Amino acid sequence: MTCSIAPGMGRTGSVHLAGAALALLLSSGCTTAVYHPLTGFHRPVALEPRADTFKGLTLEITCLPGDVLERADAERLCRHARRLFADQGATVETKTRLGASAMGDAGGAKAPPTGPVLKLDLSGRTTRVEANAVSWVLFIYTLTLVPAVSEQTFVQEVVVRDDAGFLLASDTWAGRIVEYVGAGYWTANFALDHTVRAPEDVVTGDACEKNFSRDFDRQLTQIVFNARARWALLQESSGPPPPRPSDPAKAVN
Amino acid sequence: MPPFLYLLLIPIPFPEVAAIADDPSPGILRTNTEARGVDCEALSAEAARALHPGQVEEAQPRGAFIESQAMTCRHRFFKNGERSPRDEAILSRLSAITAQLASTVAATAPPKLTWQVESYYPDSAVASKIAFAAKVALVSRGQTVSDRVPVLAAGDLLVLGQQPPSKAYPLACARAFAEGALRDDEALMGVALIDSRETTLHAGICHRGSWRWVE
Repeated sequence: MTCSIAPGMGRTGSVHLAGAALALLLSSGCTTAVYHPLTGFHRPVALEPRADTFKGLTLEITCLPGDVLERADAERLCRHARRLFADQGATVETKTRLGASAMGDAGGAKAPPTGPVLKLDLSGRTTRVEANAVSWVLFIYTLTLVPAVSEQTFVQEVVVRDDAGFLLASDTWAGRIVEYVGAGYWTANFALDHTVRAPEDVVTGDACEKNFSRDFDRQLTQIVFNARARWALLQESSGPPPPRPSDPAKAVN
Repeated sequence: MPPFLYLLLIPIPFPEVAAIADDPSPGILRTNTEARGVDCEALSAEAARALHPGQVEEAQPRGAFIESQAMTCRHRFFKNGERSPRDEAILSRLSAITAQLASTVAATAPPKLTWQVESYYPDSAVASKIAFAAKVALVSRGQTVSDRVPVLAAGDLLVLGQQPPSKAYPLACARAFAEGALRDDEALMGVALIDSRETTLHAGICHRGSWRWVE
């Protein structure tokens, strides 16, 4: 019941609970992970997902491993992002810093892009990991009725450039995953989820991962859309684009 | 007395319990919807004391047994859903957006110009807020700003209304200069939303009848 901080990630990046083996035995299976957007992740977006939103766009996505994302997680994140944009009409290429590379929806031979080419860099870092020691004492003292609390605060950095490296958009989103361990807390939330809470307010089950994934996808889609709009405007003011390096005949002539 | 009752002798640190209850994350005391209505920032206790004096307990002279973290949260001015998502996304960052636009405009335009500012946005109330914020951003960067806006003839507006944005802005700029609405030492900063699905703004400069997008 832990929540990962990159869509499609496993437990690797989840909150590390400090010690407390006894407590975990007492409350095995009673972990409630909650996703809490701090800044940026929950900003409203104006874009609804559509199959042709990014038609004609070639997107090169780089997922940089770091302290939040290990290499395997970075590759999963890139696969997730590739599917997100390919489903909306983009031709997507993904890579990690270590060189793993894969073509997106096109597959096979790589045709020279005809529309805009944007580069999307994704990186994340953990800003704080905390296991509240007092809450662990209370957790044992109250026989798991008061939850033990652990949390991880993280930031996601997103940069979009054109194929010449010009910065089109960048943003930093912050969030945290709070894990409550305890039978009492889990039971209360489970009961509330199944009685009074609206579907969007549910916190047990896979709500944490779903909520994070939804925010991440919406913000990522919006920032790439904004970047493409800016690219188009700047092209208007800069005249005809220079020949692409991939087309040597035009480059020479 | 059963052994576990000796646990009752352990003093409960009530401030810590209260801190757990005050946590703004979703849970028993707060719904996801409520938690999404605030923007929060995690700070060190020292930074929080400096930024919000009196609201965070002062440090003990001998230091604290547990390192604590503060979280400052700010309720959004409008609740989710009260404004359109696009308006909310732009207005909630209007200061930052216009600061960025004004910086680019001030850096790329010739010096000693008097600026006129006009915004092109579907909602006129929001458009006026955007124009005002852009003027403030320009003034704060040492630029001279006029309250005037270039007024075009009715016939020009009729023609402009039939043009796509890629042609309308350059044409409007050329007409404004030709009609004397903008002089040689004046320039127009146009702040525009080009696509209704965007959540950011763009800036263009009109100077001596020539229009170009800069941001």
